[in-house]
Amino acid sequence: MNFVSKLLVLLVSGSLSQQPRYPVGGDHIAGIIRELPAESKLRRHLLHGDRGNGVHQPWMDAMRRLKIRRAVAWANILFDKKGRPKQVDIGKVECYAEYEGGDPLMDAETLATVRTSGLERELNELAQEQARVGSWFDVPRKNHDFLGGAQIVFLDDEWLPVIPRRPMYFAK
Amino acid sequence: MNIVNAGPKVSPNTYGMTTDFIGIYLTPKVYANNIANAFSDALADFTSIVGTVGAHELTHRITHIKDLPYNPNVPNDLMSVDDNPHGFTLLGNNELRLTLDEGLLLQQDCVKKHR
Repeated sequence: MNFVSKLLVLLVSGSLSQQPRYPVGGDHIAGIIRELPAESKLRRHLLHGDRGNGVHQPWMDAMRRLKIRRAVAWANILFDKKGRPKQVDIGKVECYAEYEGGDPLMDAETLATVRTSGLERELNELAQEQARVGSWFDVPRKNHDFLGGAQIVFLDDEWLPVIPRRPMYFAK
Repeated sequence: MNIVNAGPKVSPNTYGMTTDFIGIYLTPKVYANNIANAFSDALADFTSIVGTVGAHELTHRITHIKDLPYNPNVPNDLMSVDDNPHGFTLLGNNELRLTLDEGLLLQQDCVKKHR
């Protein structure tokens, strides 16, 4: 009986940890919409009903602690002649205090913390994975391997849409 | 133009494709499933993205304009999106456009076909 009740507690707590932290379209999103300027593209997307997948990731907490709302990893990719990625290298990870626009953070202390806290390494690894499963708008026609890239975007909030969720490739 | 789901043989993952073979153009395709997977957070904008990809593929088919190199002076050119590092943002925000010259060429070809 004791074992069964423990199992039930584990199952219930397990399922609770999978629950969304905020209801979709609830006060949380309404608050973000209020904060964004009227001309914001993100605001327009949210008002249209676009949402993130609601899956909270530990690196989002690290971003919030450092007041980083958006991080962009620039991937340099070697493609085969058919446009399939052969080799991926993350050139840089830029951090922003805003969800859209703005300049990358240059504050030496924040950048050092991004590095030493392991956030940069974690985003780098995730970007490596995501850069391998991107999409082309239209496959470029080449007779040889070629260089290209992709931007991989990370937001600090699981309910905000990342558009597109799979990175879009470009040729250089 | 056909709006279809890409099968497993369509590799790499792409939103659309226009095949030409020694100057003969086949029917362009827009891959709805690939777009839906890539833009899973923006399904409210799915139809506009399908429309933008369709416009790009139809412009290939009708005008025979190839994919163009990225020109920073025309950063939202629909026909150079393959080389545009910020193409994904422009596509998501419905900001890709044909240039005036591309639009005129498309119009001329359409008028010729319907004369």
